[in-house]
Amino acid sequence: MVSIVIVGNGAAGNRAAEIIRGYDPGAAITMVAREESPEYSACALPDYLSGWISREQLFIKQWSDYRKSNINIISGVNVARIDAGQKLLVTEQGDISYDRLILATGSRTFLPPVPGHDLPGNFAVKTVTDIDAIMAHRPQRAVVVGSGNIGVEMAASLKVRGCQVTLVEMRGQILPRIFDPESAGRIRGMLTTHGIRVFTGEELMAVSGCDRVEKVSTSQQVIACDTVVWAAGMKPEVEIASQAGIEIGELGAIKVDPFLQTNRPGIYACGDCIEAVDMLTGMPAQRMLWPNAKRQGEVAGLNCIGCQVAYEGAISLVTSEVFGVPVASMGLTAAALTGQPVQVVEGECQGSHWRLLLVDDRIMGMQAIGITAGLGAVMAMMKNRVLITDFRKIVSDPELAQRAAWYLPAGRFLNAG
Amino acid sequence: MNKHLQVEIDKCTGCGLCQLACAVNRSQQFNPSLARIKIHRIELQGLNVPSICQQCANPPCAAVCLMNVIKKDPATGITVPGHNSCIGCRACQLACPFEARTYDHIHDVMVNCDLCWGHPACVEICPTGALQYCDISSHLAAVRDAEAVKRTRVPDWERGQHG
Repeated sequence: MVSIVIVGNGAAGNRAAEIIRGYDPGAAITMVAREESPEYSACALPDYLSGWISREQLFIKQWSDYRKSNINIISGVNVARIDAGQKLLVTEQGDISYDRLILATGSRTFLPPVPGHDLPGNFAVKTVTDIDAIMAHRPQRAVVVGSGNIGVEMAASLKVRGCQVTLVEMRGQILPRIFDPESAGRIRGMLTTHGIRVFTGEELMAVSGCDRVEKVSTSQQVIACDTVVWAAGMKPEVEIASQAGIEIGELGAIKVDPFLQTNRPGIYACGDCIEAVDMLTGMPAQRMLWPNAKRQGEVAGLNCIGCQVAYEGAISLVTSEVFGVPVASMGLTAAALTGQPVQVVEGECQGSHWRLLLVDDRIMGMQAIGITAGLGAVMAMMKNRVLITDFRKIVSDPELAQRAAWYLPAGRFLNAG
Repeated sequence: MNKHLQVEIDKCTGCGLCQLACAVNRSQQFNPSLARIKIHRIELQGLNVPSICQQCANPPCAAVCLMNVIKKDPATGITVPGHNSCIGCRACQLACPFEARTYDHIHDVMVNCDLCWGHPACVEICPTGALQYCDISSHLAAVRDAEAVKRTRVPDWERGQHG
């Protein structure tokens, strides 16, 4: 009987466990988790903070679900180190031996080394306990540092809770990694309309206060506040991997081959802790997103039980709701496509706005505000690298359009059909 | 028996009755935007293409679901939207290549066609027979036969006679 140990109880780890159980009812599966709770959706944490969903609704699994699938879960335990030679996982509660190891250690909130970041009133946004702590703190005036997807969602959720919210972003626009300045400007407008103060191009220099957070100083100004929420990025959790001699890539995450195996045979890695290849560019990239983590968990799980499945690459797919308006981004931004001849196709309809980025007649990215219906067709075209010329041929020919009807929803964005 | 919703595009007139029946049956409002079935109308070509959930074996919507609520019903093979914890994030809408996921703004959840528990309202109301609820294997056989006739321009009975 093969013994598989999974480190991590997030999206990737759980998906790996599920798929292994699906294929091999006899495998011994042990999950080792630092957090003391069954699997929950980290993506929904801002919705829990805003009160949109209850704490119970966050949880994807109950403890009984692990038992039902015959998965042994050891929670609340830190892994001290991996002994790759002996195939042992050394934890504070004893050693666990494995035949195959899957590292799904995830990521942690990046806290820049500014003075005062350890004062009471500073919060990370990663786990359900972080959100519990924010709620127990009862924030009145909050500064959210970083305006990625998490930062924007946290700012909106705090606002819904009746907080006075200021969003501070170091770069020149909000959502710099997933939106172009034009679309980001629209989203910024939505935030400011709802009373969130947004400052871009300002670096956070210090957090200060006597025994708790009282104000923050940016490169431009001083903002009085009682809460600082850190959403300035995530760092892959690679400590135990690098100590075990597992190769770390240039981006600071675990390097894996196309089968998600590390340089140590028998040790696989998936989720936020790995350096994945971008599906569109073929270059190493970190796309720390839930759908990618789940797919990587699947691939790592299958490969570790002997089914050879190559990972097709990660793709950025982000959706969010900003005060009731859905916003979505997929693929790459114009900034990520710098140096390539980017053709922009923009459109507007009944208050919604979209922006497609084409390179060499293929869709490489799309951002949409207020509309999400039909984006799946665009996503499929992007993943399959469909030429827009071919697409136009298909939708303008009734015979072809009938046979390839799945192209049709994309027509509304490409002024066709 | 593996029954599915089948579409004969040639017969669809784009009347939209199926969308109204779907919306009122499942979301209690006569609002086509709430329908689980959609019709792509290309008016210049007189083309109306209904699109519905294909009940994929390995659904891409479930693969991206941020709450892991979209599941395949093991008994029927139907993709079940799973409303209890759906947060309406619409990731599934970005993943589905068939535009088969609809945002139900009344209940703020994402929905897809679940074949109305075996009695699809759209099929009952479709005036032209473009929508059918039938055994998938017999339907595919019929489609294949019709296609063979079209391509060879030889009627079925002749093909049968001469092999």
